[in-house]
Amino acid sequence: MRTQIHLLSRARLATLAMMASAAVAVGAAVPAGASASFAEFYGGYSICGSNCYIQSEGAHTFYYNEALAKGGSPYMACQLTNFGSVNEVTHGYGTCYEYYFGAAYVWARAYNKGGNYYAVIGYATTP
Amino acid sequence: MSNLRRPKSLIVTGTVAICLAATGVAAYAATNGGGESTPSASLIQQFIKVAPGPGRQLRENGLSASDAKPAFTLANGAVGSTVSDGSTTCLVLTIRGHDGATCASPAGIVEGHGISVADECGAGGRNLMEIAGLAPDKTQSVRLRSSDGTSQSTLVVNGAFKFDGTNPAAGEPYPTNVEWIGDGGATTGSAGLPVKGDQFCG
Repeated sequence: MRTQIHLLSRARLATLAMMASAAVAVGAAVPAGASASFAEFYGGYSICGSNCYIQSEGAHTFYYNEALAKGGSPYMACQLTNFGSVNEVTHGYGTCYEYYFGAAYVWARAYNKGGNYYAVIGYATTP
Repeated sequence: MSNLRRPKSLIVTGTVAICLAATGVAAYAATNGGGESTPSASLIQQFIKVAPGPGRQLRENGLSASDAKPAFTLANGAVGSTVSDGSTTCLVLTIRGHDGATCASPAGIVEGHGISVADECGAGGRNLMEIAGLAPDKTQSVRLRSSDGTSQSTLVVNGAFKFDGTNPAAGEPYPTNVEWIGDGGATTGSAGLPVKGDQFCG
């Protein structure tokens, strides 16, 4: 009986792990905690270095946005914007992050400004 | 027992299939350098080794904001502090109780990789520009050079420095690089800002 419970537990764990992986793979939208907050990975592919960018799938009340490049430290910029009154931009080498506490619905973006192609991934979350 | 386990096997098998299919789509999009698909779990793991979110770089380097030494306060209210284990130093910016960090090695700091520039570019903002960074060991002050040849200087406190200002308007002079000033006022090196030209707002 103990073995059966063990097998069932392993099956449940495996199922949960696979479902979590599938959720991330399909939507890359993951709960950021126990509350109703929303978090999203975006990008993850190579973009050109002349102001090319990756962007979140939609606008949310994001308060935190971060991005990083793989395999180098190009000029990068993180942006939270509603293309109007809100436009927060932070620059860094190979990575960037920013906060915005205005609670407006904003898109999250990350730019590669390093001249060459780099794979860039972004992550944005609501409070 | 077998009747109970069979559905679970189906669920697992189905979920694996969905996961593999989605991963394949993401990989296809990544290979082709575009598309709207979002990154797969395995792809995410290629970029980050710890959970994303506030303070990721601190966690990645095994450092804690609670050990940081205060350095400055920015005009936007963020408090800057530094923490180091000798091989990596992080500039922690804490705003409204939330930590963020930019970390670099000693060699990276010399090259300016500990510098970040934050700009309020929206019509509803105060147009603030905050330049904050880590300074190389033994640097006493930092000189910020602008495109018109002018400069301003600030002291280094606990290995960090900051310049408060406003975003340069189109056609106006803009900051380009910093110079590290050591004992006796000698320039020991320089580093560019992580901004492409005058593209401070996008």
